Parts: sequence; C-alpha cells; structure tokens
Amino acid sequence: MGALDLARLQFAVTTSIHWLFVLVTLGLVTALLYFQTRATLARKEEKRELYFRMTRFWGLMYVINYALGIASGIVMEFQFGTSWSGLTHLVGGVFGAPLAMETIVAFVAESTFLALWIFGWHKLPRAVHLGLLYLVAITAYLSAFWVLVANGFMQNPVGYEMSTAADGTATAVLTDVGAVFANPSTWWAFLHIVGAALSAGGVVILGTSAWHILRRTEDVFFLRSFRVGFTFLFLGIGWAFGTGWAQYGFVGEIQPMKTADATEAAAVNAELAARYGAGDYRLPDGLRESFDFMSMVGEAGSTILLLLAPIVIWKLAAKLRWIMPLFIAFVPFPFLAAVAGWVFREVGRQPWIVYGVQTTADAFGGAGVGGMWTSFIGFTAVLGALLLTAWWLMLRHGLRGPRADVWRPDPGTDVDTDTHLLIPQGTR
Amino acid sequence: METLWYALVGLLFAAYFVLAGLDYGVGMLFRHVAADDDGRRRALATVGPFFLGNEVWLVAAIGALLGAFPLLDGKLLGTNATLLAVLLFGLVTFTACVQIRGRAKRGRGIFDALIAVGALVTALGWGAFLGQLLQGRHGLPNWFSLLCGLVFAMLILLHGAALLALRGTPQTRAKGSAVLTAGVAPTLIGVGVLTVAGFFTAGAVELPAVALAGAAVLATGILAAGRLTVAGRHGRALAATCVAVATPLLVVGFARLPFGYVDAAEPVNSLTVTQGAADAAALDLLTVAAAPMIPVLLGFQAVMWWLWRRRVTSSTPLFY
Repeated sequence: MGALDLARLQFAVTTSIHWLFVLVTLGLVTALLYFQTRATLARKEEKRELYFRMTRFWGLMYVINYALGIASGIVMEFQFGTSWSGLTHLVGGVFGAPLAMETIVAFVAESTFLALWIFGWHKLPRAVHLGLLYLVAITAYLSAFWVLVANGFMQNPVGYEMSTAADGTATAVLTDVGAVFANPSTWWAFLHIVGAALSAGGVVILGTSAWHILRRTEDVFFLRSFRVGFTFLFLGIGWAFGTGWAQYGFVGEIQPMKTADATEAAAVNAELAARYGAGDYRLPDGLRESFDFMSMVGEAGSTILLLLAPIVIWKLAAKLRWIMPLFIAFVPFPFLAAVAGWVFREVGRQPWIVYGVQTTADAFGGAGVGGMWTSFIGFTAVLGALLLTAWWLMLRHGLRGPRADVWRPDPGTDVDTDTHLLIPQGTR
Repeated sequence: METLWYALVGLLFAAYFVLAGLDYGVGMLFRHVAADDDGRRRALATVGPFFLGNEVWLVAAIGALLGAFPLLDGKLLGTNATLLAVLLFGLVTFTACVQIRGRAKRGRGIFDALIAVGALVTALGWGAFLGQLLQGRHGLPNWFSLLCGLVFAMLILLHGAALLALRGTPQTRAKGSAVLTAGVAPTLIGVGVLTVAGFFTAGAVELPAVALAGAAVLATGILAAGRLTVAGRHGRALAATCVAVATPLLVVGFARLPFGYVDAAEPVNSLTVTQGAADAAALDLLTVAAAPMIPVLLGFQAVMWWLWRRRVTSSTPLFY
C-alpha cells in the first residue's frame, strides 16, 4: 500500500470513528432535551423527579460518549494539514471557512455550554440549566451543519472561482457565500444525517431499556424510556430513509457514476472521460453493496418498527417482555448503516477529493510510506481503543441502571463528599 | 484583514496554551502532590469544571488557522507531521485517560501514569514545535527544538503548580507552592540557555529585538511567579505564569514577521502572513460570522471560573 492509500485509509478510519461518536452525541442530546424539558415543566413532584433522573441517567451516557469522542475530532482536524495540504492549498480559501466556523461558532461553544451543564446541576437555576442544554443541542446541530457545508463543497463545488497568482499557482476564491451555504448537497446530507442521528440515539435508549424491561429492573423508568427510544428510532429511520431516496436523483445529477448501475457504468465512464479527461471513473467493487445495506436497514427497519408500533401505542411492553431481545438486537444496525452511508458518499466521490476540481492524489501532501504506516497504525490503535472504551463505559453504565449511586464511580466514597449530579434534584 | 486574523489565531492559540496548560501542568503534577486516590481526584478537581472548555481552544485555533490561513495551515502542520503525530498521541492519551480514570474500577494507577506521560509529551511536543518554527526547520526536531520542548514543559509544570497552589486542598497547595518555588531557578537557566543558543540557531527570527524582549518578559514572569508564591500571593503568581506561558507563542508569532511560515533551507518556500491568508471574501465572512463569537466564548468561560472560584475542599463535588 502506498503512502496515499494509507493516508486515505487513515482519514477514513478517523472519520468513521468520529462519526460513530457524533451520531450518539446528536441523537442523545435531542432525547435529553425532551427529558429535561418535561422535568422542568412538570407540575407533579414524582413526575419531575422521574424525568430529572432520566435526564441524568441518559445524560451520563451522553457525557461519556462526548468526552471520549473529542479526541477523534482533534486527530481528524490535524490531518487536513498533515496529510492533505494540497487540498488546503487549492481550495482551503473556500472550504476552510466553514470548518473554522464549525470550530469557533459551534464546537467550542458546545463544549463550553456542556461543561456548564455538567457542573451546573444544583448550582444554576433550573431554567438556566435547561437553557444551557438547548444551547448545547443547537450548537451540536450547527456543528454538523458547518462540517457538511465543507463536505458539500467537496461533493458539489459551488460559489467559487479559480484564480491564478502571478507565479502560476491556482487557488479557489470564494465568490458567493450564499451559494456555498445553500448548496443542495449540504442540505440534503444534513437532513439525512439528522434522521441517522435520531435513530442512533433512539436505539441506544431503546436497547438499554429493553434489557432492563427484560430484567424487570425498574419499570416506570424504563417503560417510559423505551417509548421515547422507540419513537426516536422509528422517526429517525423513517426520516433518514425518506430524505435518502429523495436526494437520489440530485446525487445522480452531480455525480452520475454514484447512481449508475452495472449496465450504465461504461456509458457514464465515457461521458466523464469526455468531460474530465481519460481515466477510470467507475466505483470500486463492493461500494454499491454498502449503499444497498444502508437502504435495506432503512427499508426493513421502518417496516419492522411500523409493525411493532402497537407495543408503544398501546403500552404493551410490560406484557410482552419476551419480545425485548429483538429490540436489543436492533442496536448495531443504525450505526452500521450510518458508516455504510458515509463510506458510499465519500468513496463514491473518488477519484476526486473536490468533485471535478481536484483529485485525491493531487491533494496528498503527507509523509513517506514509513511515516504513514507508523501514524496510521498508532492512531488507529488509539482511536479504536477510545471507541471501545467509550462503548464499554456506556454499556456498563447502561446495564447498571439508574441506581442512586449512578453518578458515584466509587462505591466506597462517602455520599456527602460526592454529591455531584447524584441526588435527585427534587429531594435535595 | 489578515492582520486581524493573525492576531485572532494567535489569541486562540494563546487561550489554548494558557488554559489547557493548566490541565497539562496539573496532569504532570497530580500524582506527585497526592499519594492516595482521593487526593489525586481533588488535585484534578482544581481544573475539573474547566477541563473540557480548556482543551477545546486547540480545536478553535487549528480551525481558525485552516479557515483564515489555509496555506500556512498546510505548511506549518504538513512539514512537522511526525512531531505533531507524537504530540497528538500524547494529547489524546491525556484527555482520554483523564475522562476514563474516574470511571475505572481497577488500574487507576496505570491511567494516572498515562495522564502524566501524556501531559508531558504534549507539553514537550508544543515546545519542540515552537522551536522548529523559530528555526524554520522541517522534519524531526534537533537539539534546539528539544531544548525548547524541555523548557516549555518546565514552564507548563510551573503553571500547573501555580493553579494547585491557588485552588487545591491545603496539602495540595503546600506541595504546589513547593514545586513552583523549586522550579523557578532551573526554568530560568533554561530560558537563559535558549536565549543564547537562539542567537546562533533561531534562523527564522527576523526581529531579534522582539525575541529578546520576549525572553525578558518570560524571565520576569517566572521570577515574579516564584516571588509571589513565597509571599503567599497565589492569584498573582498564577497571573504571572499565564503571561509566561503565552510569551513563547507571542515570540514565535511576532519575531518572524512578516513571515508566517519560514523554510530556512529553501527560503523561496517561505510564506508571509499575507501570502498565507485566505482571500478577502473568506476573511470577511469569518470576521462577520465567527470573530464576534470569540469574546462571547471567553465570557462564558469566565463565568465558569467565577462560579467555581472557591478552593477545592473535602466536600467539593468530583467528576474526574
């Protein structure tokens, strides 16, 4: 494998791991909004306490995922400079701006609000504390939007002009900010990933709740969580499925090879060769299967969930405990589908890094093969370990359930010295 | 406009070094200042509520560098990829282990050691990176860069000690003060050696007067931090280490002007700040849409410091 392939593989691994963290972040924060809003507005004391406990229990799951996911984003951000300096050199003037907006206006803001939220229990007025969570959620979705503005430009470059400097080097210059933001490739992808994220957040809640319903841990808490998780998963999958197919025609317009089937591939290849110069523009083997897998999850998932909807509508979960393993088995699918979809979007753009403007090979500016191997193996190991650790901690937290000591990692610690986020707010 | 953004990128990096420097400093020291787990958690609690907000300034700084100076971003990071990979390795280990240690039932000793090593590697790495920039050097760091790394790591250590001396439990405060006062002389010697060595090796420096002034500010900051700690003025001592930690960055940012990227071996590859900047339309967009957010974020983080202005005690809620 050459240095270029390694750099691509490294970016693919880093982005995929990052994307798995992001999915849970966006999905769970939306569910938390529901829980904490209901808690804050509740009139009855026991309702309030229940929803605050739900906010805290699912909130810790969210926090674990977020805190460990940050590192994957930092590694990814550095790679633009260390491996893809050709990209920043040619089009950085256009696509760097949305990424800069992402970091300052969205991500750092999100982390700042989140830190205030995590440490603000019992310290801030309830309305302010809830307001912070709304700010966290808004900035989280803004963050995803900005990233997709940059990615949308790579898929469908608009709003720029190539300008040649005196020494002959070409760079892309931003000419139409509105066009960059209104890029349909960005908006379709954003709408689509909102569904993916809601389904991921939903399935985490659903799977965990199903396990506890099976074990009869705490019915009031988990039957309610189960319904919320189911609703998120169902709406999320349906929405992702719908917005996925709705953009299919548009994707075919901007990138004909992505939607071409086996019989059309040769003709499309000739057409692209006429447009961009001789070359092989066909998709790599197996890429179509990743699309088919994603669309199967969407189609089968929405059908199965529709059939199972009576369980939630008529509140039958407590009577149908034996069916709960089915819901636990759902857990991996939204994640697998999301990674498959991302691979299809990104690999399907090849050989271009910015479609029709710059090839991935031209954008590579990284080290030699030896250096790339070291960096690839090292970071894959670290980020993989990070992902597994995050999932292990989330799983352990999820299976342990919302016991009173849930916020207290040390069973031996004195409760009074460790009240952090621990005692239900209503009882303090 | 690129001048404004050069300053803003500098501000973001300075915020990162000063704030996350506290995390790294405490990370290097927290095993030293407390032997038992509870003590260590309380030492970490001196940065506890601020940890997340401190670390993410790096993301903002790199993002702003990429958006406002895409060419500088590619050059500065791309030519030091190996060094930055090691640095990132340390940084990821550090942040992840801080998050994990409190939730781990077993092996906290291992996580604590990883936190200390990760923090040290990160601090060494940033210092060495600044050293590379001062020389306009590519690839693996040489002795001068490594020396810069060492002195910067010592500086970060003093910075963390100053925070422990200010915010810690009584035992932690005493140990933090002791580390700080003991560290002043070696760090000053390091700064002196670097200043002299810089005359011969720091080929990227265009404005030696700025570099010398920076060295003087640095030395004064370190000295003042030591004196103020002895006098029991821990808040002011921390302010002094804040200035000291930000100074190396200011030297690198100002002393190389008008260049933003210097290639000492092939001067034709060097880029001035203006050459490295994005075009006016992109900078205008960032100025309107992103720049106003920076003071807002600083304001929110200042609120956090105010909310958690009290010292860590035996009843402080612990998260890490």
